[in-house]
Amino acid sequence: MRLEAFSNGNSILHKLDPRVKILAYLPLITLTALSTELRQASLSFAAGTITIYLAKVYGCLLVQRLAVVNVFMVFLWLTLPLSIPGETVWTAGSLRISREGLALSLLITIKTNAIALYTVSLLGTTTITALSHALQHLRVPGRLVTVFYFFYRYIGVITDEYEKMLRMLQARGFRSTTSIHTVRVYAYFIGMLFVKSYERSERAYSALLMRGFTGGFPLLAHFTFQRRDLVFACFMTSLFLTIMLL
Amino acid sequence: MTCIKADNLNFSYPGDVEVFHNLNLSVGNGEKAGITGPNGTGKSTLLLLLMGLLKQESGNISLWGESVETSDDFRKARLRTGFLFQDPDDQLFCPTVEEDIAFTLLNRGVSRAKAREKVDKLCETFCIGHLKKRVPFHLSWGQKRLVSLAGALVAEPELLLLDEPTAGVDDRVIETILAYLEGFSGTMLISSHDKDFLDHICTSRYVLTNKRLEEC
Repeated sequence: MRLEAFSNGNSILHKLDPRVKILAYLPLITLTALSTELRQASLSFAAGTITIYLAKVYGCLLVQRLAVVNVFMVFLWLTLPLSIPGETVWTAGSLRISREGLALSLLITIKTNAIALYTVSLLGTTTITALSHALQHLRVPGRLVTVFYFFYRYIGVITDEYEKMLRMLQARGFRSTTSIHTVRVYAYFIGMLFVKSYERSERAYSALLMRGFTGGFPLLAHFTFQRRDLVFACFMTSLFLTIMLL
Repeated sequence: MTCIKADNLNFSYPGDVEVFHNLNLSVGNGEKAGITGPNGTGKSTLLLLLMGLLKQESGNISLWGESVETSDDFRKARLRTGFLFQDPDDQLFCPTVEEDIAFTLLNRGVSRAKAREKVDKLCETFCIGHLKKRVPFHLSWGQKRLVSLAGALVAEPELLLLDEPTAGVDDRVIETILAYLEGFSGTMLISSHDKDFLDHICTSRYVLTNKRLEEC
């Protein structure tokens, strides 16, 4: 599944307890997002790169994911240097590019990429299933975990439904054009997808009621905290403190 | 003693699509009853009504001799009932097969050790021990069917409602299901198009036609 593209692997990060990864991830991304100094963001980015190396998830897919994130950065680079007042470094007619604008664009780009790297290396190396379990262990409210898990559980079912309907349209000779007919077919398509999703949710809820569901997410299997998790937790804590004190 | 009794049930889906008109049903304790009938006559709807998952317009439902009306009554009745849904994808919910089978037990506060013991036993019975750590919704249809049946049976229900248990599964899976159900001592109500399967299991048969049930 595309949601779990990085979750299969044999790296040290794949083997870590998901609880530790979540506990390391949240403070680090918060600190990175709130940092205003370029050196803090740069260190965080470097650390993110190291975690990617440890997770062994480098490759085309990683580049694709980072490319998606950086598409938004292009818009920042096109607007911020022109709109933030400050020392002018380049002028073209009425357009003025400020040093402060460039610095802010660079800062945001580095922070965003650092967070993306942490997300891929720490959360991406964990299956959604294990994440749900870990969230439950970390005492996140059961309903929130259930909603999160439901999203994962049924996004696949709805995607399958979508692909099935798409194949059906192709099999019946539908070709997308700029006609009113195409618009109508797409409207039906979206409507049917909503109706089918709604009906499935009703049936799934009935099944849950039959099995004594009360909103919680009881677990049979439990994680075990091992020495490598402790080492990783110490490393990430040191990294967090270093970035904070820098 | 009667296990399931439905008197003069009337039910329509929105848009005045009448499904049942004064439908009556009586299934005794320990009876294995089968319901057949053309597509769209309401076999699945009847099972959902009996468990309060849909609400009838009028009529009475009694389970184990007691009238069930409120949501609390139905909640108590569900604790004694196992329900196999027509589409296993509606029923399977948990991240792994073993978690899914144990789900009902854990919801009822059964200890993990006890739940695991029962899951292992059922996995062995249904020959799905090798699937225990697999993600249920990545299994084949037949495997999903067995896992969902195990999930319905794990709490040792007194009443079993099975909606098309043999639809879309191969002979080997049908044999596995049959082997277990033949030894089931509780009450069963099975909706199915599979006449051979019903002949094998059921002690009584009903056909749903003209918005009513007729014994055959």
